[in-house]
Amino acid sequence: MNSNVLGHSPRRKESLDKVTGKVMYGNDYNSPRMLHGALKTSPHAFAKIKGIHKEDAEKMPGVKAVLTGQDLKENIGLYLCDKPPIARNVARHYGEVVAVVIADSLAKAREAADAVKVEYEKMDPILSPKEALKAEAAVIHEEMATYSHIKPIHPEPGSNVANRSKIRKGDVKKAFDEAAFVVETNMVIPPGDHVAMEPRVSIVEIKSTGEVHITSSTQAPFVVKNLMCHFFGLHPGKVVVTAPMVGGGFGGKAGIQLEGLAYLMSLKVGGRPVKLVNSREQDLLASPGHIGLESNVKIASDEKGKLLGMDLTYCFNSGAYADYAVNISRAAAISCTGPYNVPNVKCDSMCVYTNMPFATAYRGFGHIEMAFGIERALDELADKLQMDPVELRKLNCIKEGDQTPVQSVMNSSTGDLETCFTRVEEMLGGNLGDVETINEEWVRAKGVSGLWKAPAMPTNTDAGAILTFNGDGSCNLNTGVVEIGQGTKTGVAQIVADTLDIPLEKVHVVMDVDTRTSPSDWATAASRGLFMAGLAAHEACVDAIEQIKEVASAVLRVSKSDLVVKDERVCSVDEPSIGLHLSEVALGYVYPNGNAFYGQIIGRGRYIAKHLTDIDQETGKGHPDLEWTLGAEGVEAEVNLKTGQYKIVKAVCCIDVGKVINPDLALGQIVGGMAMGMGYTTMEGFKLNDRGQVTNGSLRDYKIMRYGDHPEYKVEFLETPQLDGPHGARGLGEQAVIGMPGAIGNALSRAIGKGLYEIPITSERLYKKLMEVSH
Amino acid sequence: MISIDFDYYKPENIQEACDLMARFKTEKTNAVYYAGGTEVVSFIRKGTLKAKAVIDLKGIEEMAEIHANEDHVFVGANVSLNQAADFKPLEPMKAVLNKIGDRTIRNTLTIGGNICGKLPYREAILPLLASDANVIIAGEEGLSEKKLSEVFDMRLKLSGSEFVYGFSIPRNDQIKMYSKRIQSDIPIDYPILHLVGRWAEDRLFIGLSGFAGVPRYQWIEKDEFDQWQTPIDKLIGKFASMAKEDDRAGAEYRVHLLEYLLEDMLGGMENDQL
Repeated sequence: MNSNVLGHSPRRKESLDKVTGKVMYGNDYNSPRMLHGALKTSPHAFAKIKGIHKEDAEKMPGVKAVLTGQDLKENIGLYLCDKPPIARNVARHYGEVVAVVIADSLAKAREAADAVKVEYEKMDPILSPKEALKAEAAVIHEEMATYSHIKPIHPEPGSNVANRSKIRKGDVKKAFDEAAFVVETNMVIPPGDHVAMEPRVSIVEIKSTGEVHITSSTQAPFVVKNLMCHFFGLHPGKVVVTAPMVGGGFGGKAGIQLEGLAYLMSLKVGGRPVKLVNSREQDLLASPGHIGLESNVKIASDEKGKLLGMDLTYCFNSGAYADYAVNISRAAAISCTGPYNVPNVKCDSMCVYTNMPFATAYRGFGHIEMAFGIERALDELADKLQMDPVELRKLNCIKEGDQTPVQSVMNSSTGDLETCFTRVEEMLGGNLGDVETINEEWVRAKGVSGLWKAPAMPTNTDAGAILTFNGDGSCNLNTGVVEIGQGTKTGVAQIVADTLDIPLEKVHVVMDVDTRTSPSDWATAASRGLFMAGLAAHEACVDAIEQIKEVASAVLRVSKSDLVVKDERVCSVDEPSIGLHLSEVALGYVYPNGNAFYGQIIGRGRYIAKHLTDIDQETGKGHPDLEWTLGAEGVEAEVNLKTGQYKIVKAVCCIDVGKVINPDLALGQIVGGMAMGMGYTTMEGFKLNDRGQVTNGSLRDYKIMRYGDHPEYKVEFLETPQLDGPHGARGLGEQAVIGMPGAIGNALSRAIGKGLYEIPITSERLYKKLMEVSH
Repeated sequence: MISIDFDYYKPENIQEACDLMARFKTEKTNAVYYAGGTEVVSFIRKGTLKAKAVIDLKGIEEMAEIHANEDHVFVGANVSLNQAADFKPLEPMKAVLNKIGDRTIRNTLTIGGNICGKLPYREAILPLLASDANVIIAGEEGLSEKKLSEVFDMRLKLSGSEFVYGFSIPRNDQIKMYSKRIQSDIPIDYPILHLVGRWAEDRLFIGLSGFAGVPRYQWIEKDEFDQWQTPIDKLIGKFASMAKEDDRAGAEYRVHLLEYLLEDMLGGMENDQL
């Protein structure tokens, strides 16, 4: 064990290259034969495509080809195969790709894209799940019955429901009949965007051997590889996906995005490398963003505040295509109650098509949306009960032995949520129910929220690690984790340095992921990077240590069981002077006379999720949920009662992460998540006119948090070990985003004495609520 | 990136610039003057500006000058907002200019560009109007100096190949200007209301940006003001119908904020200004 590594925050492996600008992102790769693609997008939210005139564009200098939906017969879809790579016959959202141009340069391609003329016949767009679910609503995907899909999702052809996941636990009717208190709230969250710093890019080249080489800004190179084979009939060994450094993902790059289209474009030009890169505006609208939600939350409790039941309807606004959204609605069903013990639960969680920009995974994966409704409703319940909002939550915290909504049992690795709430309350200075007057205009109020999340992932989710060695005894770590700014490669390297007991500088990491040389890895998503690759890397170290001992045992004539690996040496446990430096065994031992023995050490490690099942279609019973991370968050806000202006002055979080591997990285993830959740709650989301056109489709108008906009942050970690996690750790990448809408919504509602149910909570919305006459 | 091709010109004197623009007007070539570039680049990206020729005025050195004598301050149109805000004799304008964008972007934004651009905010015009500034216009006939208030009516009225060369501002270091700006959420954004006010000797200036489709202002004579029983209602009455409704805020909210800031302004100003 190397006591100087775990629990410390060494400099990240990639940081020097990043801060000196030397690091290579996808769009930095160029080659002389490379062609460039440009997108032509729809100005209408819902329209039939009556004709496309591409002749002028085709004649422009440098233009190699123009592709339209008619040229491409395949649909591509992550879980539900609903999306033509280019709109075919109908455009279903504003900004959807309707044609692409391939040309010598990006400038020429973009100029030619402007010259493509498209004739549309406009239709009335559907702009909310509520509208989409009406019996008379237009069906956005008339061919839904013909779409292939994975088994765990349940589309309803003939309607706009792309998935319905149901939870039926206990007897909800009885719970509500017997309840002393019932609250009901309706919430609205609009779709929006991740705004990752790097817009998406894919480069595809088809070699003369038939090999398809893809370089892409992706969190999921193996997903891309597998889906390319699935949709285009390619051989898995002939698809090579490289993921260089990625400039932020937040879930937006976890599926398949530009890769399929870039492949079809390369195919069109004889396999030449084609680069397809989004402009910022296209990244906001043509590629998917984050999901919206309309939810109805009903909660029943007894007279003391013990929760009896929840009756929940989640209508996720997936936009025009399903992408990850079908699984987001499923994940929200699995965790539908928030981190509370609720004996009776009914939930219908739907993924609903609308004519809005479509949605993919986003940090929190359905939990941030779900939690806003639950946490706002719990505060209303606390008001009714005249109970402290923290006390109510502590009374109902989920604990070891309790059942989740899918009826799986919380095991002994369950985090200590009650203490999280206690710490959050203390960090906020207590008195959570109070509204403090600052002066004649301003008041101060606080709000809290619980959070939980388990990864939503396939039952066979896997990862691997390969450890090779160098002549100086240092090692090379190769995993399938993509570096997306989260620093996981450094965290995994710390686990290796600790297990092998060598300095961190002697653990070299392979930065880029290459699906041909890196071990298989599901995806860098679901807060699973460090967990899965960390376990695999630990196993690879154990495997390597076995081999090292085997060599040393023969050379030193000491039995394996008497050998230890420490301080870069393998030696006899009772007589450390009898030993070898790792450099002497790393590439095989060489005797003084030149004889060599054993050969190089190669450590192999693997991870695969255990005992996961799908959920029952009618009851939701099953075991899809592993390793819940629990936590609590709170904010303190100052509100101007005259104007509705407000500022968040403090944001706090206490989260039970099992074990902190790297404090700075962990803190960065938590604070980053809180900041993102704050922007999400206070200012983000697409704005549309009544024709469904997005009116804030650029960063002049789509506002996100800036450096100077932050409050004071306080973060504390609890370490109730995850018994099967790497050194007891569990996931923490997404979680901190989840509680922010609830905490902020609760603080602001308390400040103005009226309930807020819609995100983003703008000053104007707050002011209007203040002006509302109470009924 | 900008994907359209255009011809780029960088004249070194006003005659050259005007001649170029006059020629393009005759040829019916879509040409624009360019002073900082932030708007031109954005609008070309967005596809709402299809310029075939761009005339960069930054080659005209005098337009980047800023200097003061006892009576006047001259600010060239190409002076950056930071330079202007940091120039001591322009201290009264500082609070207004420093609210536009952020420090980094204000290195690029020019005072001429801010006022002549396509975006409807043009906040820098307000303190100039409040200071009774003159505008110096370059045209084919050379330079001409006019009262800014005579040339500005919702926008600067320029004709033919004219452009703004600079401003001449009466020097008065004692001016105290009121400036408060409200954004819909974060500070680095356009205003939904920027109120600039100033009590001159016998009249009150009220200027608004972000409130209406264009900057609007009024001078109110003290005699008239003193007769008002409810001055705030009267002032609101002068502007309320201009309030715009857009993504950042509704008209009703803008009017409410105007009322709020007017109360603040009149409450705080009375003592030291009247």
